[in-house]
Amino acid sequence: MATIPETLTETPSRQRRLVEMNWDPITRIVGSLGIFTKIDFDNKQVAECYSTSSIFRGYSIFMKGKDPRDAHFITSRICGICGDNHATCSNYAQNMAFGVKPPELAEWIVNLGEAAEYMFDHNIFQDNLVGVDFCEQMVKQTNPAVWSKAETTAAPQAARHGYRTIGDIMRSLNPFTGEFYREALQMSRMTREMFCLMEGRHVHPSTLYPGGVGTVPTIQVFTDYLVRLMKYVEFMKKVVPLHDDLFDFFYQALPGYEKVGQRRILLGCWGSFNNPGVCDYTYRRMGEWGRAMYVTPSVIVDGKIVTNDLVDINLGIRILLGSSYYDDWDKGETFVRTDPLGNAVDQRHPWNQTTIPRPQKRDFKGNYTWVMSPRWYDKRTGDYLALDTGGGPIARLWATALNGMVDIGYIKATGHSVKISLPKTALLPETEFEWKIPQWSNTIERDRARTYFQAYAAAAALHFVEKAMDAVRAGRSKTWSEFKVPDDAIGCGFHEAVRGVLSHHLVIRDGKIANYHPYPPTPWNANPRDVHGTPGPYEDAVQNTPIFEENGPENFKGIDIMRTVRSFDPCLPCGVHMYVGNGKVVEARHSPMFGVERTKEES
Amino acid sequence: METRPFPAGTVAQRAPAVKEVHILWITAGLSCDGDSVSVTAAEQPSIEDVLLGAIPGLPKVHLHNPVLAMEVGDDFMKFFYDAEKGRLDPFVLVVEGSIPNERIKREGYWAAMGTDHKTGQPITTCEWIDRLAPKAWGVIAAGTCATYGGIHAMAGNPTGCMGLADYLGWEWRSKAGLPIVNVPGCPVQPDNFMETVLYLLYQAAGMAPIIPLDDQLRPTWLFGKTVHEGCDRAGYYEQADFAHEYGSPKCLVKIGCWGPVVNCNVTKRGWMRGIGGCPNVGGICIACTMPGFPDKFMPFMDEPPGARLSSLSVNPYGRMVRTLRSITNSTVNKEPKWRHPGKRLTTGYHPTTY
Amino acid sequence: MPPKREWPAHVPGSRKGEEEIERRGREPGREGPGRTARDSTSINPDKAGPIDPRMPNIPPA
Repeated sequence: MATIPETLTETPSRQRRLVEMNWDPITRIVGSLGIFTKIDFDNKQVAECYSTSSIFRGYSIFMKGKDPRDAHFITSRICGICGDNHATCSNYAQNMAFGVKPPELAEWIVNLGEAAEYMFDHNIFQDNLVGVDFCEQMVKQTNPAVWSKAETTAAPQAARHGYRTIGDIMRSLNPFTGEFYREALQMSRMTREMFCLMEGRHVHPSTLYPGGVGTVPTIQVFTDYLVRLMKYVEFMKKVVPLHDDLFDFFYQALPGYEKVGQRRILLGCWGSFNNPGVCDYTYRRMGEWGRAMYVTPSVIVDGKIVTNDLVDINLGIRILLGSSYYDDWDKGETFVRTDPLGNAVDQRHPWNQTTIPRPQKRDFKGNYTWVMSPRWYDKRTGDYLALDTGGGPIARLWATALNGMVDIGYIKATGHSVKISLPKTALLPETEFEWKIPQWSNTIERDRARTYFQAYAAAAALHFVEKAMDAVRAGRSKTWSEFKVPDDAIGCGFHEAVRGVLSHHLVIRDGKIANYHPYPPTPWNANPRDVHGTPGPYEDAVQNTPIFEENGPENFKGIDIMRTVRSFDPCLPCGVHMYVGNGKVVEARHSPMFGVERTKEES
Repeated sequence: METRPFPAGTVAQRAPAVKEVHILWITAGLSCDGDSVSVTAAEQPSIEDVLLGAIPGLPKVHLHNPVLAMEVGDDFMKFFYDAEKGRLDPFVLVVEGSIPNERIKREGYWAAMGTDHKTGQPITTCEWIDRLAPKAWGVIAAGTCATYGGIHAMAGNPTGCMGLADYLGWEWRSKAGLPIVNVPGCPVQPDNFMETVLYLLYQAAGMAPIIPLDDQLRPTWLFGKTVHEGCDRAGYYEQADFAHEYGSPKCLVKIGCWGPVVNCNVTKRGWMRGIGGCPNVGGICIACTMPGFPDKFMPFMDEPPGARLSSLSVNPYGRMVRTLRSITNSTVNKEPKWRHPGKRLTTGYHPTTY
Repeated sequence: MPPKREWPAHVPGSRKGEEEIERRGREPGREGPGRTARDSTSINPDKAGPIDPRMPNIPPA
């Protein structure tokens, strides 16, 4: 159990007039999240913030003793929008544990399915969930002056997307009545058809197995995918300029908006899209095949790569307890003492974690959430780094850009940017987009990266479908390799869930699961102050975020906070929590959500 | 927008018995939110078809689902508090996620939504169900977790969770006399769910009788046959042609498929627009719609016990019928002999004029 | 004359599709004016029908 320090060293204690503002539940995300804040309206700043998630299911407990071959079917159900990311990652871990390498075509099929997932999920999240925060109805309520400006500001790339003014863009984002909102929703269905062609059904796939896939590779299945992909490619030629115009407008209309949701550049990307020519799922060669992925893995600190080696990344993962409803396992069983290369594995590593839930009352001064605090141990400095994924795309693009290794024609990483070349489509010519590494890790850039990554995924899919068709035409159509489940084994899988880093760690004993711990992106992004006192990513991002909303306490929507929270694409079936700041309450305009416990802290 | 009467003075649609219906959707069971996400994939009808009034005769529908809602926090929860106070009549309650057992521990909560203004503690999902179910016109359990407990209810689970009918009672009836409506699936197949909602809206509008449900409370027109009875690979089964490996186009019953004993229509209708599915596209059926899921079907990749005997029994018949069909197939793969460019007409017509 | 199998006319001995019903009667599940669960499934059809007499009988296609 952690103790929360009384004051933050970075927040000078001073008299502030703070008003409690709470949003529970946060909507337009997946899962359960509540945000409890104190707002300094005089200085237009967020002074304090808690967020908590209220659901516990117990995967690591009920998976014990089960057959390891069931792991991907079960862990897919961790998440209802990106379950296939879990199933894929689980199969990567099983492949390693069982010592099996899927045939080449299986890898292209999985990559095509995962690309379709990114194309689907980013699209629906950005345009039907996040987009509402930028729509006419919302902006009129929160920033009437900005709305007036938007109506008269010409959209610089109107010729590409067809919306004459920024106001027109915002109008089209209105939920259900907005034209672009509806078009995006329809597109999201087409991308799921693409997914179904490769992985059977969405979100919990039916055709994935350890050793490969059950999808039957025919001319038909890849043609059906390609035809839909080209429609999406054409769509992206309009969507990228539309979002660039919208996001750039916010920087112009609200100078200083770059500070909203800004935090230190501490990014994690575990890599995505394996290269079948290099990847054999052995731990021994994991560093090499990790670097061969079509999204390059990395830990990035202050804009520089610390490592792109998955073995190093693996060994650095630590799970710390912060303010969560669990007993510690420091004295518990050690399942794995050394990795297959002989390196020591820490007791706080997921291979050695034991989950012991202790449900209790919520206490914002003590334990108040179901989530733990993943950190990455930087052996150069001894720091436990609170990496974030920025919602996924920004970390993926940043890592891929810096490494400069991906080069497949449709995509080229340059060292400072990623170039995405989309071919001619029915009505529009060849188009190149370049995502340049931004100056800040902030709300707007996380959102912008999401749109660019949709184009990235489409470009990658073009490469994969060509490779798949080559294989089919050449008669290399095996999609599954046989294996035998060993009595004792360990495995780990590294992948990018839609929202960021995803790892699955597996220990097999007597042919059954002895230990299984998945770490999706949300616990990385939103966790509380840990036992070392390190704040979590949300804390940095929300604390001292300036308020640009024009409303006072009476009608406050907290839109800048909502945009920041949603920029991380929170996906809560894993749970979220964070604690930020300290301050004095002078008045509470809304009925206090904190109850009796809060009063004690306020002195 | 001005409205004009129809030229002949007829009315195109009759007014529904009920003008407006609210749908209150709780995702806060032990849930992955997969059923809410699935619903956004539906096209027959789509969610916007229903909300924008594209289907004639229906009441106006207001949807309150946390994944899609414009409102946040208290503004969103207001609808739930209003429904509890009877101000949102009639409403349909949709529950997603396994129902936890909050009674098996001393304190704390497995699942909650919103915060109690007096105690500052979260309000458990079970408490919300207790408050709202008695006031609802009807209750739908969306997805296998809410219908029968599902994945989170497997052996060894710490929360003791269950399905909604286990929690409220299988004989439970709403104040309008409806049983719980179970639409299982993990996740629920998109159009299965929206079709069920559409039926209930017709029922609320006075245009349809009470929705037909089987003994597991599933709509009969969706779950009334087995996966195998709808599978396009069943022909391989009948010909005793079974897959030995994943990736084969043949019947998967010997490598894990439970289709012959599972109630589900995904093989028949595909996943979306006829595309995808499970065994019809190479994914063994793991029986995710069934009350016995997942325990009675694990390990999923093992041959189901009954399949050994049945696949063996069909073998002699299958081999014989393949031979016979091959013979007939050879014959009918040849055109009749009279289609030729020769000078003599041999079709059976005897011309006298040329 | 072309051989019998290639000439489209009734072959004596084959059953006529439209007379099947006269020969074997109505199918199980299709005895009455409507359809019952047995029309769609032969696996526990007695459990696949509606539980309440007010509910219509609508089995799947």
